[in-house]
Amino acid sequence: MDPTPRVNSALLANFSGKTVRITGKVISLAEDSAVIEASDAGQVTIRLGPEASYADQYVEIIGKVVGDLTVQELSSVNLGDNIDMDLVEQTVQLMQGHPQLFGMDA
Amino acid sequence: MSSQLSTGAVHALTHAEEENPIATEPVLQVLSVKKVVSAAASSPDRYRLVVSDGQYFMQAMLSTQLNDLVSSEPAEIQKNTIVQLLTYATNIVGNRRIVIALTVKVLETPGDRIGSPVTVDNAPAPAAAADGDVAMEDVKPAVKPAAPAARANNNNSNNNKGAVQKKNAGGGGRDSSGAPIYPIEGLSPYQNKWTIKARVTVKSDIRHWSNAKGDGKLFSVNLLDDTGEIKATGFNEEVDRLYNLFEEGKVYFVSKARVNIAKKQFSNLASEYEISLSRDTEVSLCDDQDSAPQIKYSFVELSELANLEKDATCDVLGIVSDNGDISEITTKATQKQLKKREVTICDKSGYAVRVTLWGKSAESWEDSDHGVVAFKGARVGDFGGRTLSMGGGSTMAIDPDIPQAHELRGWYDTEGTTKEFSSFSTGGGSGGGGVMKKDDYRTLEDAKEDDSLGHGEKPDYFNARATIILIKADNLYYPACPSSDKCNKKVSQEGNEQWRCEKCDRVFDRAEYRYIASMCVGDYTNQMWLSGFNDVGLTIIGKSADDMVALKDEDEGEFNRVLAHACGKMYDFSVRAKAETYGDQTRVKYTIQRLKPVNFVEAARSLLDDIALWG
Repeated sequence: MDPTPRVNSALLANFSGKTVRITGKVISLAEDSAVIEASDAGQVTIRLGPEASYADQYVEIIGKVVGDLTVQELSSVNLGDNIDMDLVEQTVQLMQGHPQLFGMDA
Repeated sequence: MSSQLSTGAVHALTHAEEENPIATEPVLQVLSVKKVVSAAASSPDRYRLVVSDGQYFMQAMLSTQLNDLVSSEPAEIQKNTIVQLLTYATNIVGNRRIVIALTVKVLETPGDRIGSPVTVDNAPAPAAAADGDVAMEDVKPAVKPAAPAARANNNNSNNNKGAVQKKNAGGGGRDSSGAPIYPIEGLSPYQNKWTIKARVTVKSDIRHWSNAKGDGKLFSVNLLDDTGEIKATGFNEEVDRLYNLFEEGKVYFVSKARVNIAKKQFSNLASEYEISLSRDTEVSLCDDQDSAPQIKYSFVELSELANLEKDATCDVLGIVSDNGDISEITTKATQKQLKKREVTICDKSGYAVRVTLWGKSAESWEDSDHGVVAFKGARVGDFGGRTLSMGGGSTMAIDPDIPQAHELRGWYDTEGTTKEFSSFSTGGGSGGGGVMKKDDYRTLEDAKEDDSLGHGEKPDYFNARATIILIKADNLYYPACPSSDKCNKKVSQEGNEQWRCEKCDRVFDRAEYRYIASMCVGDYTNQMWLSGFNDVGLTIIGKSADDMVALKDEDEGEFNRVLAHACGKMYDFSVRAKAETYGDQTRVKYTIQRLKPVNFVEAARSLLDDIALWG
């Protein structure tokens, strides 16, 4: 099974229709959707899955890229309230720069 | 050929003006040599001679620089040797005048004493006649105390220049007042009226101090001439007067200062003596700026640094491999903010070492792209092997125009860029300077592979980031002496509820259990067994050893679960490695000094920095 790449808002376009992993800060929460701010400060809309429960400030979502900036959630994890988003962003960039290290040679 | 002694010289020397170097070069015969052992253990011996000109004899002291002439085998100066005094001074010691020989030429050693000299102490007052005497008469009025001297000297300077000839070991010429130039090597506390011509190699900052006796300020300069280097210090008012006068790199005449025994702990120079700049000290800029040498170095190869003692000083020349960064620390002593920078240099010997710059030199350091840098008087430290530090008397020269620097540059351009350098720091090899803590981190593989780690006389220390894999359940703790004064010795059980401590010689009804945890930790390279004591155990397990003892009794399952729960956690370990021998077997034991839970954000940032360095 292919690994799920970590993305930010800008990278979503590269993975249209694919499953990605994205970490973000919860900006707003509605009944079946949420808006998160990704590590590059761009906002992404999440279509909530059936068991979604966003309890903390930071969450990580695994989902399928459906629209330009929309992800259909498949699973999510709460990450607490203290995430260094800058670190996340740098990690995302590093992973993109060295795909062979992360098994993502397409 | 037998040398002619300078008849009348002894008489003239004895009755000459005190403390003024008389510049004729008398030929005298040494009648006896006697060693005067110095009271201070570190001071060299001195030799007292009796010298004669065939007519009279008098006492003389040999300058310590010349001690070899007497102590060599065979001695160059011995009974009956004829010498020519090239430079010397006279001084009143007790109630007679003695001459102090600074430089001499050994002529020959005939078998007998020439003439039948008698002691000059009984001789009549000086008569005129020899050239030598005339010269001295001229010099006499010239050197009266303080103010009149300046004027008198100017008036007589023509006479002096004409009549008196001199040969001096340390660069010729005279100073503005006509008195001859002393070699720095010839300075000693025995005379005060000298003048030296020297270049300022280092000028320190003005330093203030405040102690029980009051406040003060001081500065110092290192003065260099052909014969040697000496430190001159000025306090309080002299700071105001002289600090701006001295400029690094310029040549000055300095006279009328005191010569004292050097305080080695404040200076990195080899000289036995140092100069105190006093109110009477005169300093004047010399016209001839080239007449004193520039900085003298005696470079030590970096691989040799291990042979130097801690706190020794040395000169090094190297290529800058890392410019370091400026960091600020607060000094424990005075709570001041102090800037520092660690620069890494490497040289032909294949070694690299960190040099610490402080204050202004740290700030004004310009990042060098593998340029050559020379450090003089750097202090050797033993932190993590060997390090160098710029002290008060140290100087630094970037890309100095000396042959060794060009040679080093040439070597680096051809070989050095690709070479791997061994470093003194207990950390991985490739010379990445910067934060000190990072250098001390080793992977477990690296620590295990390193044959020298722990095998020296002193224990080695390193840091490692690892995860606890397993904690041994048996021998997890021991019963310790509960006495309040931290005895902690293992107590032995005597009957039920009786615990005896050998050291305190007391019996207790309960023991306080303390951890002696043996655990296996691993990182991405390898794993290693570490041992930790009570505080380590407390942090990792979260329960006291006494609690664990009770738990083991009551619910062994829970006991094991608690131990397992402690595994899988990542810590920054500070480890001490020391080899211990049990009979035939020698093993390196690793003890945890300190441990900290990993701050993941910080650690990740640090990793990102490392990644960035790899480019």
